[in-house]
Amino acid sequence: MAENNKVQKSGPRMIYAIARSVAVVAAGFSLVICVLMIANYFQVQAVDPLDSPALQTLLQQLEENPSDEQLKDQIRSLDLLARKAYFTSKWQLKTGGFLMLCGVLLMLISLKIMSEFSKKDPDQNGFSDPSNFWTEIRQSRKWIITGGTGLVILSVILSAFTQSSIDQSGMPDAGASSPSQEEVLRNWTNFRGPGGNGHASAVNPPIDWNVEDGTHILWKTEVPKSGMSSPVVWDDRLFLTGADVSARQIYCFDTANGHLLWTHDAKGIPGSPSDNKLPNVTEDTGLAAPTVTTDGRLVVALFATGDLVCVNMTGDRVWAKNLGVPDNHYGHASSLISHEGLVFVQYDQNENSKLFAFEMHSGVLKWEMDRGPISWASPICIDNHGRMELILTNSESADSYDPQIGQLLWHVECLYGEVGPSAAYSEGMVFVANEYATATALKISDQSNAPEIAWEWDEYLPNASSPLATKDLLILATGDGIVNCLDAKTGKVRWEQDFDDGFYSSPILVNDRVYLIDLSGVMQIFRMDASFELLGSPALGEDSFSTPAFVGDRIYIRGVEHLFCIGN
Amino acid sequence: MKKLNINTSRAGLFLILFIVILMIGSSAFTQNRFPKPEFESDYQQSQTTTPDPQAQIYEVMDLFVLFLMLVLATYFAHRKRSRHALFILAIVSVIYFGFWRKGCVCSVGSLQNITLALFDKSFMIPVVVVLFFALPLIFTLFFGRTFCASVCPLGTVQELVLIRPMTLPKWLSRILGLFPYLYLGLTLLFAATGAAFLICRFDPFVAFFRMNGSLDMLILGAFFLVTSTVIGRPYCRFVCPYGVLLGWMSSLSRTHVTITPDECIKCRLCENACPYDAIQKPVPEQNPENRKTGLRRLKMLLLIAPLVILTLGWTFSRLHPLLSRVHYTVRLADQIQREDSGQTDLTTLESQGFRSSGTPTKVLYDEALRIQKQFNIGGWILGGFMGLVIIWQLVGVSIIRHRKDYEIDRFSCVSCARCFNYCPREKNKKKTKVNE
Repeated sequence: MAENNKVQKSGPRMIYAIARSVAVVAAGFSLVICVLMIANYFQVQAVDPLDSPALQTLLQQLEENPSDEQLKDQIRSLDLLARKAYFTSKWQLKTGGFLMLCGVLLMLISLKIMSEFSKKDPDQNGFSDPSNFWTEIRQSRKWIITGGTGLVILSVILSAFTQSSIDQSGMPDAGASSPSQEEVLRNWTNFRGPGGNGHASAVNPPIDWNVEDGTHILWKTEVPKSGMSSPVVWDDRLFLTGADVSARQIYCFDTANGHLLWTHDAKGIPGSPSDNKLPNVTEDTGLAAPTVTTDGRLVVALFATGDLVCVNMTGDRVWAKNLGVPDNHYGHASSLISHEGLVFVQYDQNENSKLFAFEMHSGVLKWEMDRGPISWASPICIDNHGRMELILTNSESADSYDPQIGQLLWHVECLYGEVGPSAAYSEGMVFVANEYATATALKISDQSNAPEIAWEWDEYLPNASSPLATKDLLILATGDGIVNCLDAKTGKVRWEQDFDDGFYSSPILVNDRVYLIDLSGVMQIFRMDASFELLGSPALGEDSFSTPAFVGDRIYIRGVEHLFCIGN
Repeated sequence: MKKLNINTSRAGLFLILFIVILMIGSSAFTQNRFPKPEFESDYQQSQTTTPDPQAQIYEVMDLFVLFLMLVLATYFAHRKRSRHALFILAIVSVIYFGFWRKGCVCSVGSLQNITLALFDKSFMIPVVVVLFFALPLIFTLFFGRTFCASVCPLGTVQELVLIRPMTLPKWLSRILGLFPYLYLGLTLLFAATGAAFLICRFDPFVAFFRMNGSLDMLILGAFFLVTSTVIGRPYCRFVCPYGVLLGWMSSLSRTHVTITPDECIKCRLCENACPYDAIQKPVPEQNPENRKTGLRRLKMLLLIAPLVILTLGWTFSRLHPLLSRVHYTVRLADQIQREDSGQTDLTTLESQGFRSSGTPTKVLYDEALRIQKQFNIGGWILGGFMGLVIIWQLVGVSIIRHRKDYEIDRFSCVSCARCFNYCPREKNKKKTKVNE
């Protein structure tokens, strides 16, 4: 009987002992596999079979000697070897995982068996004292309150260190109102001033200055990178662009002292050509010929790379896009103009010319129109007896568009050649002109979409400088330095003046005076009158190709190196 | 007793056989998602192929297996009262839903799909996912958490590795017990805003089921598995958000497993049997606290409840910038802003992708701010919910229902049947049955 009991007791004990041994072995086995797998894991993570230094060296050698078949074979072998090694490591990881799983399973089963065979009846001493029940309830309340309080404290601490990272203070608001007409007229919003028509309003700048002795020179500052673009001014900020092969930049200067407030690099724009694939541009056009436009909230700039960049007044980018590198043999030069929340881009090129209208605050394309031949002229925006029109010129025609929807309002084929001058407008008459073509006066009406050609004139015509028109007179300045004043109604020459240097810059009407800066930087100031009267010829001291900005009693002129502020 | 063991073993064998047949049969539907690269001979550039969608039969099969296992788990827990059968069923669940079906689709995760479908009309939710979400809840409403006992692969894998259970200190259980509610709230918030599927992202066992995963997932899984060997179902008790819903359903359930098959003789043998703290002791007759004090506390709790809810709502709403960063759009907007303001020179693939899309930054920022607003509102709701949970739990330990016997806590009990065998009445009943 005793013998029998012994057998009965030794059975479970033996199973327990076997299970324990198996558990120990399985645990050891799993541990070893686990360590190996961890080592393997880090090895696999560290190795990239396609980026081994040896392979890269061989690939570089192949670039230098592309016909070396032996080298190619060597690369293939090394590549195969690296891939094999990588996939072998992956296989080892997977196999190791299975082995470890088996080991752990075996260990768990053994442990389960051990626990089954070592089960004891519940220990009476382990039972809790019933009188502790109420203490436990009290403790529970305490710990729930503690947990809740901890939750509040944790969330308060976390919230104290959490701030909204998205700051839209510098972002434009779609609902923000466009600037009032008064605001626009008080500033210089784009090339040739508000509307792009060359008329400055409510200004009274000096007619004489001297860079040498500083007379009327309020400040002079260096512009970091060169550009043909003209200054644009809003309140106390002046915007310019500059570019070279290394960077395209927008500058903001403080009009009070000429200090550079910020520079925005037009970089990181998808589709933008890399620095070694920039479009070919001529020296007298450059990569930064288009003038920026602003509505006092945002500034939009365009470069010859096709990069259209919108920044806010503090220089933070709002949006940017590349319109495709323009097919332009001199370099894209058409400036931007904005009106009622839209920015217009005259994108005339050898192929696939377009006129774009983008929402200024978002960059979303509002409309686009196909256009004809190439040009270097800029759009002007006029109020034709209550009807807003966007007037463009190209190597073939003058065209008018509805700025809101892009509809072509009228089209007159009256131009020829490589058109640089933009249009001018006054009292129902649009004037266009270009070298080797004619100067044409178009009588337009808000009631009709068929302008009449009032007169044509084909003598001394501009190649870059835009015309300047009033109700009675039209000023045309050529690249050779000849300025003609024509009767706006008849085209009859009122006077002709031959200056020493040619003009790329466009004439600006300031009260009854015309300011026209020549290529050598001499500002020719004459009266807008049927007879010629020179009021002054102050020099800048350096060449100038851009058109100055007139705000208040100041003139902002970009020379080839410096930006000048001239004022009373 | 022997007869019972034979019966349960047969049931288990049948189940394993069934699964094996199912696996062999379904191999006919498997497809090579990625053809093996061929390096040995002349290399041929393989055609890029799009993997075919999962065969629809799997969905039907998953659903069928889920339903069958729910029925069996309920039968084993309620009628058979067999721990062995439930244990074998748990093994089957881990093999089928875990290792073979790679832990997806699972009822726990389906909570997110349901939430997203409710808040995003463009999100089409498959019927199978809806049923995976609803079936366990329906079963629980009628029979308690039999789903947790042997069907949920996340729960059963912990059940299987539990070797030497130890009881956690009450205070720790109480504090950790708040976390599933928080996790539930966060899960709903992230799913509703389309930010993330939190449960899937932090699924501790899926890496093991798939024998693959990131290092952090493997570490998380290893932590839970090792912990599960001594602490009963740590994920189910202190993390699982679906468990909260199941707990609520179980509290309202029509029937539920009981410790004893008939009447409790207060032998106290089951007192420490449950590794999940789901056995409630009898309430002593003598309450040292007078009734008035208890009532005053209850009134006070109800009075401060709005304050607690509002305080937590406010503090959680203040976290919306932090929480919203889980959303891809908010992270991208932040990255773009840092790039544009010169705070970083490093671009990311996402920011490059965004810029190449031509979408204006303003549009991105507007969207990010809209999402942050959603998180602000969500933060208020989440905090308010947590406040409500705290108040509810405090009320729960302030109103003590009179209880003479050892009873199961319906909310916490996972119907694992572990306690049955501790009950002498159960043993007697089984003996009588065998003798009959």
